[in-house]
Amino acid sequence: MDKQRKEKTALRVENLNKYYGSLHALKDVSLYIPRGKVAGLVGPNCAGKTTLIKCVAGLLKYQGELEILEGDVEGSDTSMIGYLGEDEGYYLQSTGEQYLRYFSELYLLDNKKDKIDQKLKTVGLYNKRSEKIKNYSNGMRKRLGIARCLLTDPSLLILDEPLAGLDPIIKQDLMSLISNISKGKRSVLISTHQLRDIEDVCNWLIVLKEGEVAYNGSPIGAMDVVRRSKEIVVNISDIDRVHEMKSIEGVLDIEVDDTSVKLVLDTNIPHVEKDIFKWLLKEEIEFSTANNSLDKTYRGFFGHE
Amino acid sequence: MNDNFLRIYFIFKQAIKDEVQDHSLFLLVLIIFGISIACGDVFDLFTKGDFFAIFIGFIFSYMILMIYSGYLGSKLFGSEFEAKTIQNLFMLNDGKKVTFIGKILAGIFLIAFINLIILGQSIILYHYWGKVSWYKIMWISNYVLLGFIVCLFVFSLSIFISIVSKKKTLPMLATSIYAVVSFFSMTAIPRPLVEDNLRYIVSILFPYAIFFYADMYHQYLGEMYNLLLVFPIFLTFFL
Repeated sequence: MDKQRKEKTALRVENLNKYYGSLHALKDVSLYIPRGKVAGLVGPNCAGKTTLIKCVAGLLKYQGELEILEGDVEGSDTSMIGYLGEDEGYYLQSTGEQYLRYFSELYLLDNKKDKIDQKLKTVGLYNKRSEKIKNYSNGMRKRLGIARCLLTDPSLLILDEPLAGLDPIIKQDLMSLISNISKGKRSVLISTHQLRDIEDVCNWLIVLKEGEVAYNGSPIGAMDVVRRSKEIVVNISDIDRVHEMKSIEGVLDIEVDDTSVKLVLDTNIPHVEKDIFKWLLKEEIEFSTANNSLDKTYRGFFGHE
Repeated sequence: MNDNFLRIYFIFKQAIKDEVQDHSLFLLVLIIFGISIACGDVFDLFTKGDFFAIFIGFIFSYMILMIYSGYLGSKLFGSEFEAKTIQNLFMLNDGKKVTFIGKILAGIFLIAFINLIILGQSIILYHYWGKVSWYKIMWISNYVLLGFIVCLFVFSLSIFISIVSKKKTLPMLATSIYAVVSFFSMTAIPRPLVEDNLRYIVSILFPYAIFFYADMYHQYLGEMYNLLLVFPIFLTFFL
């Protein structure tokens, strides 16, 4: 790794392996996140996202090399990392303010009162600070968790499935909050299996598939990878006729489901889609295609998941 | 190092604060006083105040106190594991170490506090019967100390089950059953078992035997401390 890249790296993982008994959960995972980026860690369920995040947060033991904020953090100092777990627990009988005060004591902060007020204002909970956490909504609890993470002004914020169980409006609010928190200064790592939730915010993408890194880079680069091939999902009544499509130039692969067929097309062949559509129309076969958003990119990695 | 001491102190303080705010500590003290005074009064009617009444008070008090010790272990650890709040404490620098030390110290402090109350009330009851002597106070203090160690053993057991099960109900249930079953099986322990070398195991499995066979245990008291102290220390280090 060259010096310039090293200086700008928020997280670097080299050949990280994690076993749960005989299960190989993370297989030689190597990745990096540049500083100031909002990185989306995506993958289907059981891809190893939470395991990787817990390794980074220091909650799980692992084999391999892992460096956080190279040059800034020494040894086991975890105060530069803010971690919000997937199923974060809260002291429900405490108020939001008491909860943050307890953690500000444990983080050994100065000017506790000012910092707590400031973080509560940042996450929009200042007016609710005296209410008990048990009365908070799911979204408010997530915000409070983020406020706790921000108490130490961490350089790397790790959020494990922060959007799980939230309605679309709250999701949007939370993502704009995360975007404001980052502002190119603080690195954020967000895991999710719904890429469309974070596509407006994340400017770095890590794709995990079955415990391995399928992609690590900019989201645009990820789309380029997928764009080299394109897939069309065709709903078809006569499944036997699928194999006739193999004769069309540019059709790389055909995957048959119960009632639909996924065609993988080589986009380097001009007019391949047009040829397919022409053939389908000629044969009067009903078909539909997925949209081409970043979510399509995700589907490009994981097929129909 | 100083930072860790401070974190341990804050975790300790919060645990004590939570316990006081829950009122369970206050309730426990009330129950123990109630039991002891009731036992004392009942036996006073028949025996005109006897040393045995103190032991009956002890036996009931310690059953409650053993259940409380189990509850404390499950509350300090099991409930935090179940609510997944302990994860944030583990994220601190040396998080696991400071969390365990802070919470275990808080538990030991609370159990010691209750034991001191039992000691105090026993002395008060003696004063009421007008039989206070330094020898008897020392003798009863020995049993309070022994009871304290038994409670620590139950506390350690509860912590162990909490960590393994990551639940709050199971450790409390297990230690409560243990406390009640060992109470009712107290009289089933044959005297010879207490007299031979099995008294070490018997005193752990059936802690009430210490009080029931008080006359015999009295002579072994010194050596019993050695064995009973090993258990909580061993469990604490193991955890």
